[in-house]
Amino acid sequence: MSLYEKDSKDVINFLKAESRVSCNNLVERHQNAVFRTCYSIIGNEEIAEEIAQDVFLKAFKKLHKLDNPRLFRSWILSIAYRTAIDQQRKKKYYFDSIGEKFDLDDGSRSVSDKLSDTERKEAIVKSIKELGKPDSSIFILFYLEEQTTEEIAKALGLSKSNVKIKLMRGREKLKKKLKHIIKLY
Amino acid sequence: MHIKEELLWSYLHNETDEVNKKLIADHLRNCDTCQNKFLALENQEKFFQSINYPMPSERFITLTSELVLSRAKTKKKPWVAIFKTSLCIALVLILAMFIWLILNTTVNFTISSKTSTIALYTLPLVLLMFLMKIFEVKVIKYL
Repeated sequence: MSLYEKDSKDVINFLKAESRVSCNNLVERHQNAVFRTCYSIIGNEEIAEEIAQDVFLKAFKKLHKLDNPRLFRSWILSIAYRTAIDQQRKKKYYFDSIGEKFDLDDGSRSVSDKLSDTERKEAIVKSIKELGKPDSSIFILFYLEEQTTEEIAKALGLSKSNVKIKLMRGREKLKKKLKHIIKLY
Repeated sequence: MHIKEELLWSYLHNETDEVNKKLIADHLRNCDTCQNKFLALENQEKFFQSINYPMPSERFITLTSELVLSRAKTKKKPWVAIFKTSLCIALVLILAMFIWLILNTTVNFTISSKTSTIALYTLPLVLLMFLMKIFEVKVIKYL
């Protein structure tokens, strides 16, 4: 059964009987994508988790408005993207101190060599965040959540070619910033 | 002539059409330069796909599901139905009164028959449409 079919089945079951199993399935299947979309905009794990929770609440409340239950994923991702942007505008969340600690802009090999795994992870996360919106969300959805450019376009309300351009641009920027880490890999 | 990186990228991620797919596959079989470029690209993409990006906490599923289900249970408020019914009765009474007034009052001011006909038929119709809107139940096609 494809992801679309599973989603469709769970959406219908939830609407019919508010089934706990279907609710769990939907949250489990999409929690990473929703959380990561929020995190790519907010940059703080705790707040991103709160927003992701809010996104699921909104989505289940408006579930009867979803025209095609197979498209649950792109629908909830569009809610996640809009909600995170709204929250960011309202509260002005900024990425925390990672910025000053690991500046890989000079591309110096010695700097990236000395970083521990955690620091390297933080530096990568910071570089992705620096792509800005919506490029960082596009990057995360494409590479880590295995969404196609068409699915991302639907979720973020952009054209497919625009998503592709932004993805290529983000990829190039990251390649430059992380060149020594990529080499180590 | 060699293949541009953008095209190779599209080919790698299955984002290209069938014609281009075949052309690129044929070219890659015969061109060492492009083959090396493709392997390097594949490596980079693997790096991007393996990035250790934050994930929600382990409690996230349980907490969120509980919240969703508790909201779903509380959403049916009985006072909403009572309010809707009362509103409906009040509107019907107003409508009846309005019709009675039009038909029975000896008016001192002049009201043309055209205006009174419009009032007699249109206003109840508008009111009825409003009532239907209040009690409208969204039909979900796929259920």
